[in-house]
Amino acid sequence: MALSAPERIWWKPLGRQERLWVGVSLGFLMILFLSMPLWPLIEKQNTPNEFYRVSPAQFTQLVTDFNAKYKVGAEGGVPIVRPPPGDVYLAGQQWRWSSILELQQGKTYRIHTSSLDVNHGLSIQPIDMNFQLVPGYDQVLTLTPTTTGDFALICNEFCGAGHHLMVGHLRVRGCCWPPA
Amino acid sequence: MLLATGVMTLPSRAAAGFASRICQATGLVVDVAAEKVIAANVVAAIVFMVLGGVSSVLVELTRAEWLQAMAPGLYYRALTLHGMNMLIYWIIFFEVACLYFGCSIVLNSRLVGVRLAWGAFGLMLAGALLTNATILAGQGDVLFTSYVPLKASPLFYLGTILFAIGALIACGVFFASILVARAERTYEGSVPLVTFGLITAAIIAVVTLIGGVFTYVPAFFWSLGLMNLDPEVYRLNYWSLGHPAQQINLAAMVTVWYMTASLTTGARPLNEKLSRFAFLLYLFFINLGSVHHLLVDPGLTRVFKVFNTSYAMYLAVLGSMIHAFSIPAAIEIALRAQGHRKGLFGWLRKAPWGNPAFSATILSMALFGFVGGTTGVIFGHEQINMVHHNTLDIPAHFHATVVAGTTLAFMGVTYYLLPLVLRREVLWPRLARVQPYVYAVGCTLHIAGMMIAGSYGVPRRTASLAAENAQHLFAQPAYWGLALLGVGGTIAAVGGVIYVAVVVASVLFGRQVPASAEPFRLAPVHTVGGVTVTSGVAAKEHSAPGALVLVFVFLAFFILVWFLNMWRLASVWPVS
Amino acid sequence: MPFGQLLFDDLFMLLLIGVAMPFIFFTIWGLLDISSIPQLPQGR
Repeated sequence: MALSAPERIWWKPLGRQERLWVGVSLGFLMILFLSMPLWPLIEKQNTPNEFYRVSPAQFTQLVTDFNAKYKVGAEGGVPIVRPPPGDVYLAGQQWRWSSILELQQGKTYRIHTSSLDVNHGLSIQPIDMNFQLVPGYDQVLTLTPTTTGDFALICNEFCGAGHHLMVGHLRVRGCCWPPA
Repeated sequence: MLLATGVMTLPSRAAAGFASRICQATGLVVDVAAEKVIAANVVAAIVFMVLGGVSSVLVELTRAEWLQAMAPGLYYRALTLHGMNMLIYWIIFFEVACLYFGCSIVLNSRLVGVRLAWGAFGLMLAGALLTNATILAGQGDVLFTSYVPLKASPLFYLGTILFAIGALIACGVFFASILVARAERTYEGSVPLVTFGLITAAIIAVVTLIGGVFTYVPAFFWSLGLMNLDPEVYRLNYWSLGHPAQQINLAAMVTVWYMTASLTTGARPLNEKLSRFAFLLYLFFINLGSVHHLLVDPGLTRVFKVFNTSYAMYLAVLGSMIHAFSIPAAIEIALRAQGHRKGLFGWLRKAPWGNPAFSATILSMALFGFVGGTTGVIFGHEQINMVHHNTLDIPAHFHATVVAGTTLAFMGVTYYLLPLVLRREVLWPRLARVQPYVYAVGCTLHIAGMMIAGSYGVPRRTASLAAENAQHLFAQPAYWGLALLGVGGTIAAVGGVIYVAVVVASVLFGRQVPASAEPFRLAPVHTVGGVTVTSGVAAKEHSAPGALVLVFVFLAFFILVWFLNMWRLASVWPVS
Repeated sequence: MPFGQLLFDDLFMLLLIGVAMPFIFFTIWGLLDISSIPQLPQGR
């Protein structure tokens, strides 16, 4: 019984079924483990690995400059920004996103993301990709949108009373857009 | 049902030097002073469970979207209350009770430092009340995680610090009692497996509480404006507390599984070495899994993430895989030895399903294993995490581990703690019999609802999807999932109310045991069909073909969950 | 007494390893990782 003291010597070999189960489990778990380092060779979805330290003030400046440079309009007070492939700056703050990004399908962007106040979650829906924004840190998402459409940026980290209102937009257009 | 014969040798110095009684059911020497501290901790646990339970209903009826029971501000307050009370106070008070039980009664010994144990209880109680009061006063709407720089009143952090110091003292009492029991030779050789499991839980608790000091002491001074605190450093420190706290639950729950399997069917550990090795794997590696919350965070490198998220190449998961076989196999062997030999699963059909401790144990194992365990490992896969982080899939995972797993297991063992430790007859045994089923069905639907909504990307910790609805963002099935979340949560709440009602009624109005027999038959633990099942040898009696088939079905399911998630991951945009 | 069994009975060694493992591999390594992040260059 598990509540009573074991025999004096309990260091005994495993039974046949136990050896079988432990062996099979260990084999499966090793494959599962290897699937993480090997995944980059199979597919292209990997957690970002490029980070910088950046103060909210510095990041605010970067976002302001970026928005001013590529702004093509505004919607509900939020600038619509149409950047070329390359560096993009996106900030989350209570309780809005710094811009509505319009990206081109199949092009690769280096999206610098950070928060200007508290933790936020960057959730791109409905494609369902999720990242964490932490103030003081820049996480660079090297992202290639491959499907077109209107996507939402949802904050999915609690960020205060207006958290559920923090919903923005991200648009991906086809190859020949915008028309010349 | 006197069982003071067989392997249960009464210690030579039984009852020497402390007020005690001999338990009529198990033959164990019970320290009366320990009994009172245990009772106080169990009662506190249940009081905080009620508080967490009331808030859980409010939370769940708000999340069910079509009801919107609460305004957003109140929702976040209720969610903070729910998280703190369920994940910390209910469970840790109950675990402290388990620790005291494992270091004194199970060892036929006394609880050392009873006054310290009461002091620890007082500190934990004061801390829990302070934090709860702060939250209710609206001064701590920062959720369970309280990520800096979202600020709560300093009292919120102070309460948590007090609670942690109290719990740390309780762990000290536990370790001291074991050392004294060894010195006084109340047990020979190694400690029983249950105590070994509780040692694992207690050491993980020490890790947790040290993490708590690293997290909340700076946060306290930061909230007073006395120092700066880096948000990412806070997140790292926070999860060296937040995740190990749930691993205490894991170790304690598995220990309770071994205990209730023994008490209800007379199962004996299949192989002491294997089961202890599995606990050792938890002890060494499980706490590396704290990084599960930080996989899409800025600042941590890939090598760090891959090594830690896999608990050092999934060695801790191997521990769980071992328990997944060794406990059902021990039950199968015990039941077969009692004559239920028909076919592969005859023993399972003849198992004591009417005993709530047994049904709770089996349901807890099934839900923890199939749902909580598999999703925990797979959502913690470095890359797969990207399609689950902070969606409702995550609460779905940990409600399957902590609620359907730990809470259900603790509910089950309470039906033995009542007669054996609190010495009260279980009132309303019929209600008690159905309770685990009601709770498990509710939990299953609730978790399924969250999992469905989460798989469509619905975020967790969000009061309302009104802003998303305006964009017609989520497909209709996501809303069916949210509705199911509400229906299941309500059924689970009914199960929780039955549990609390039975326990409170039994404690207040139940007859003293042994004035009458226990309503739930204790298994004849020492005469398992007259067969002595020794560990590691005796091939014939040692065979558990049914359990082996069950674990391979489980493995197939595990692989399926993994493949589905890899396929899901491969369908999103390339990112690095 | 088998050596392995003695190892499992050693409460203090278990406590030491149990606390040291996450402290070294999670906390210390994690803090090192965080502290080695470069500053985003000014004027980009």
